[in-house]
Amino acid sequence: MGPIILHGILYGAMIALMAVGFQLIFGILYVVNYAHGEMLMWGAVATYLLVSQVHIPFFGAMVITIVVIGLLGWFFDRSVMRRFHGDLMGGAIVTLALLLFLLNAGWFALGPRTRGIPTVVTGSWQVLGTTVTGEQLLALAVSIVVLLGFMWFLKYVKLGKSMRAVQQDSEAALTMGINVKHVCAVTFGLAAALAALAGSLMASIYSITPAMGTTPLILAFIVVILGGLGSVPGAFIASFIIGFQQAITDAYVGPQWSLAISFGLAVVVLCLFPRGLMGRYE
Amino acid sequence: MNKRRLKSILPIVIGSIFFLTFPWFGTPWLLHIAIVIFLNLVLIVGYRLLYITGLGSFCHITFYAIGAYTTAILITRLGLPFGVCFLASGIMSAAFAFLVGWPAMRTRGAYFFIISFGFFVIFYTILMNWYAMTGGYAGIKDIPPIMGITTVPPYYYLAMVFCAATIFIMYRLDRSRYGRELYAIGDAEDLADVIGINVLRHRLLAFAIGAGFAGFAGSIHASYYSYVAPASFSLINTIIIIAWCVIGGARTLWGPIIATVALTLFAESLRLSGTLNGILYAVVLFIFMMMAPHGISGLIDTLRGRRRRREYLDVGTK
Repeated sequence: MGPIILHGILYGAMIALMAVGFQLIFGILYVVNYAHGEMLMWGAVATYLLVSQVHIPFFGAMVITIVVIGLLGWFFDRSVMRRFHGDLMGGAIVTLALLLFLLNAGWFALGPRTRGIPTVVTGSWQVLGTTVTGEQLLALAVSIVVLLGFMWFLKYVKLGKSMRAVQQDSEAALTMGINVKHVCAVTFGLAAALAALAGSLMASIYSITPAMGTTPLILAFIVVILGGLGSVPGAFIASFIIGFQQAITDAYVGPQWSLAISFGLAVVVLCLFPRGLMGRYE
Repeated sequence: MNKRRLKSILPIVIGSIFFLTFPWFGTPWLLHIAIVIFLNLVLIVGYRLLYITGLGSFCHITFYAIGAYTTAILITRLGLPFGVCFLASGIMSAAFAFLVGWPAMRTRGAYFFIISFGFFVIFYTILMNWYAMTGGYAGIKDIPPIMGITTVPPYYYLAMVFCAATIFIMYRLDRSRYGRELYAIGDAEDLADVIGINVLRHRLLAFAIGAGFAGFAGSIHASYYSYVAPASFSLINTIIIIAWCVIGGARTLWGPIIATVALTLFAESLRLSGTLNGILYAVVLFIFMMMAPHGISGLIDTLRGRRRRREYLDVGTK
């Protein structure tokens, strides 16, 4: 029981970091961001490169990675993505091109070998009959704090409020004096930064390969289907449902089938609730 | 026969003579590229059928894979003749398209993108992990060739005839009532719904027809290469199909055809590594999406001043 609870919460937190950003991009820009998994992969790769090549301590590397990837996301939205706000097909194709580019750039930078970062936090504890390593605890703490902070930001800070306003009705937000294009760019940057944070944290626990972005992307998709497109609280809840489902199927069925089972779950939910568990009706 | 009629028939005659006699003067490598292009053309014209309704699927390569694996498994396990496997491949792919499309298309827009992409990834993991059936990463080897033929030209003719037939069917479909209704759905989905076009059924049928042809092509792929492996049906392949369609411009049938032939020839003649090939496609896709979102056919129509000005409802970011 112990490992399932630990990994369920850990997976859930990682997926939530991905899915909340994905959900915001969909809700505010009306674009399905296929490159979200590759942003996570680059978060891990950049952290690895900074730690192993430049010899920056892990936390410094993490901060640099998050800031740089967030700024790149902001820049990508200002330069390319802004033409495709609200264009579902065009946006999907552009982000797919970005996926192709980032993925192959990742292979270029890293090669096919699997890499890892040396231990960041030493020590481990026995909790509920399972071993919790320092990195796992760190990842859990950071992601939960960041997610709660992000919820607070969306609810109380002016920029977060204007993001929600644009999500509800972009035209009305425009007439209220909100700079919609600016809010969209910030959203993309923030989502990229959240994905990069998830990537950095995963780099400290799991091994790093250029292919590591695909599974989180599919999990984010599944979470978004379960929670309902555009609903951030729905994504939050669905992340932990899928996290626990992953942990349980990893333990009892086999890790290679977890994704297929998650997807089957999503299709069943889609047949029963076509808008997801907490989706809005248009 | 008057002069005008001659003028319209002449290119077709010259073209068919060229393609029919190609094995006599083409090198084996050129023949191989021609077969690859023929199979790619079948994929792209099938893919375009759903794309013109304004909905792009992200799992077209999966139907190609289903066709290839169906043929491979039926031939190596049961020893069925190629004709039976060929038919079974197409039917299998179309059936999978119905299975995936039915839940996905009941909802609008983004869900279909997500589900089709998810289906692609799930099927890929199944191909990689179900060793007993698909052979995992190594795939299925030693698929017996059709009637024991091991030379290339018969496959060239098979692929050519199949490709020509597919393009002809798609050409007729494009001009049929059904095809026109697909265009209508792409132009204004709600309007098409209101005038009595069954949007869901039309799209589902378009999806299944495209998938069926991809399955047939996959069947030829399996017996031509004599092995199937997941590497031929990976992420880059599915993105490349979308890229052909976008770069060619789906409004016309010949746009994606030109793009497919040009890009396949370009990529094959450079013989880039997979990584560089992916970056090349990404960059070309970016350039076209930024500069010419209607693709090659849109560009040429603009140059001729013939472009129909479509009215877009521009409503901010939503």
